[in-house]
Amino acid sequence: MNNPLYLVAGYGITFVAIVAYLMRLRRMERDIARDESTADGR
Amino acid sequence: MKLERSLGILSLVTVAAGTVAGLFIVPADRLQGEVQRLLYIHVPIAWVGMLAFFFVFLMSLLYLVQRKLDWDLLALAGVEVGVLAIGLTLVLGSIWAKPTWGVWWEWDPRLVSTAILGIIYVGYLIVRSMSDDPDQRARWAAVIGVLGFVQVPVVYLSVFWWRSLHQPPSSPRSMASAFGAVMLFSFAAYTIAFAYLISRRYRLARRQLALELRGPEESP
Repeated sequence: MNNPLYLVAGYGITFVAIVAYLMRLRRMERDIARDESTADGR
Repeated sequence: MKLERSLGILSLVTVAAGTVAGLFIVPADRLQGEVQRLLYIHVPIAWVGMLAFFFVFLMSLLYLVQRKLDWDLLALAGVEVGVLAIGLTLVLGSIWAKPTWGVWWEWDPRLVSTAILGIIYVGYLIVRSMSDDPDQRARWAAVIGVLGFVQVPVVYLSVFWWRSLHQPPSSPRSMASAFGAVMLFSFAAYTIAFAYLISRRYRLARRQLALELRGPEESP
């Protein structure tokens, strides 16, 4: 019950998942901006 | 946009402060030991998941009444964030359960009903991806958004309805004041953080839809 690995795993997975979702949003933002500029150029 | 950025900074600061308080300031629980500190994120994130699906329920209902695609996009943002929260709730619960119950998973009513809740909203996302027509897609999704919400009270009440290994709902009121204060702070921190994620996702969904409505590139 006092093994710190459980805490490291729990908090670690939570923050990695949230950062991964933020990175996904940033990637989407980049793709949308590219598509918008392509659409504006035609 | 400026408000969204402020929300982002506030999220970062409050989540960081809640983490420091939960890990280093508040003492360990007498019975559960250090692993109890996981509850400072498990319970608030579970709350955020439920809140996100209530938000989806409201947005879906508004879409079905008014047929405005903005409501559908807000519901989509809520579902993505809700699925993330419910996924994390299950993982964190499992990590807490291993040293406390001795197992990673138990076919317990609370655990099973939470997993079903997650599956319903993953289904929502799959159904959305099956149609290219924004109105049809929104209609199908809104029906799931409304009907799927039935599972939320089932999850909450599961510990009262059935014999459950899972403890009754933890809340700041059910804990000693020092533990409760950190829990309450974490509730606020994760609510702000997930509101920020919903806001960002909604803004992107609007831009995506605008592009979609402009149509494919015409051949010369």
